Amino acid sequence: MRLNKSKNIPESYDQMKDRELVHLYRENEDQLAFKELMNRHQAKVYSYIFSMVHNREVTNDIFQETFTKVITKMDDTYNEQGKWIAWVMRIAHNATIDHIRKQKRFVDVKGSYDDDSKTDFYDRLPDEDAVAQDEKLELDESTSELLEHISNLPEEQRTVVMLRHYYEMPFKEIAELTDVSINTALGRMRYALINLRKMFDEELEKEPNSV
Amino acid sequence: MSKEDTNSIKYILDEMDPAEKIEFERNMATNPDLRIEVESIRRMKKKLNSLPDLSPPKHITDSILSYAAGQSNKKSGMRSGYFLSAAVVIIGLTTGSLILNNPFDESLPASNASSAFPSYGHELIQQSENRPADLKPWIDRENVLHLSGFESVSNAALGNESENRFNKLRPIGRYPDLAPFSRSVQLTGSNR
Repeated sequence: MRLNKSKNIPESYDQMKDRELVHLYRENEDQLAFKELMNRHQAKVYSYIFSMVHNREVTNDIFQETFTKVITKMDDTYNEQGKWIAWVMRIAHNATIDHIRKQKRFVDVKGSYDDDSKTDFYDRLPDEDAVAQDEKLELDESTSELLEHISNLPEEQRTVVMLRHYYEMPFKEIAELTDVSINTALGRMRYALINLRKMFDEELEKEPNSV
Repeated sequence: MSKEDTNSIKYILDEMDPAEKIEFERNMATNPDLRIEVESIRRMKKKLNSLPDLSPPKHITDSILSYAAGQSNKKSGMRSGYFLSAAVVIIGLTTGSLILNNPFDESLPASNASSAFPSYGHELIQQSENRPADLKPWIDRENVLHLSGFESVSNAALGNESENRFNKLRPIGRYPDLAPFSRSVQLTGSNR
């Protein structure tokens, strides 16, 4: 989703490709070019992070950390041949995964593999942020339910679903980003959707009992 | 993960090539379990479309934009620092070389002072000194070149000058091909 256009950004910037805007920002230190880039992509980056951590405060921190890195590293590590947003997404993804792993780091239990969900104990361990997600957004019931189920997916499955949903990222790129084969990435997507389906079915089964 | 396991998701996400797609649809027609799985995954995929796009709070984007502006200022500050240092070095070197080779330094002998000019300039000055004064070339309506100003040059000087010029001409041998047009002296350039 594109945000409302800022009045300060010239119309001509609308027509420019990301690559051109990045070039303007890097070579001419054009702040409006950077603003336009943020304007185009911030909602997707933010939504992706939120869908992974389910906490506004944490999302704000990771979002800010992501763009701080983008600004400081753009001159050194971004190669203009590649898509800028894919590079930004890699930074956002790494920052998000770092955060999630920090939450789980000190749990001292043996992992056990579950054949049904194809996950081990660590994957099934809920994120602290996801559990404490009661500061919910003003969303309709079915969307809240969907977000809750997504937060209960194993991290690796959630990552694939969200990258695909928010970026329509090709599986080749998802596979590269998550360091697995394309088939594994596709398999994770399949299991994620099957697991979500199961969660909704269980929810449905519970409903008549609760009445 | 076997290829068969991922076919249903590839089919739904339109990641199959046309031949694979036809093959998969053939399989689906004969396999009700596969049809159920595809339908179930498709419904879940559709459900994902209701996920909201969220925007970051304004204070966060503002702080990022001001950080970006700060970084740019820092970079341009560093760049202008480099330019300033380079300018100081260049000015220093230029001033140093001018001080060492000052052509207008009165303490130097006249010959030294003139040697500070480039040799070409020196030649030009000498040429202009030797040239007969006030000779002005002009062209009439028939495009014939004339020289005026002979009045101001003494006959003796003019004679010397034309003799000097004549002596500089180099005689060449006869060219058989050019026999009808050949002359004993052809103006080909100077001996200087």
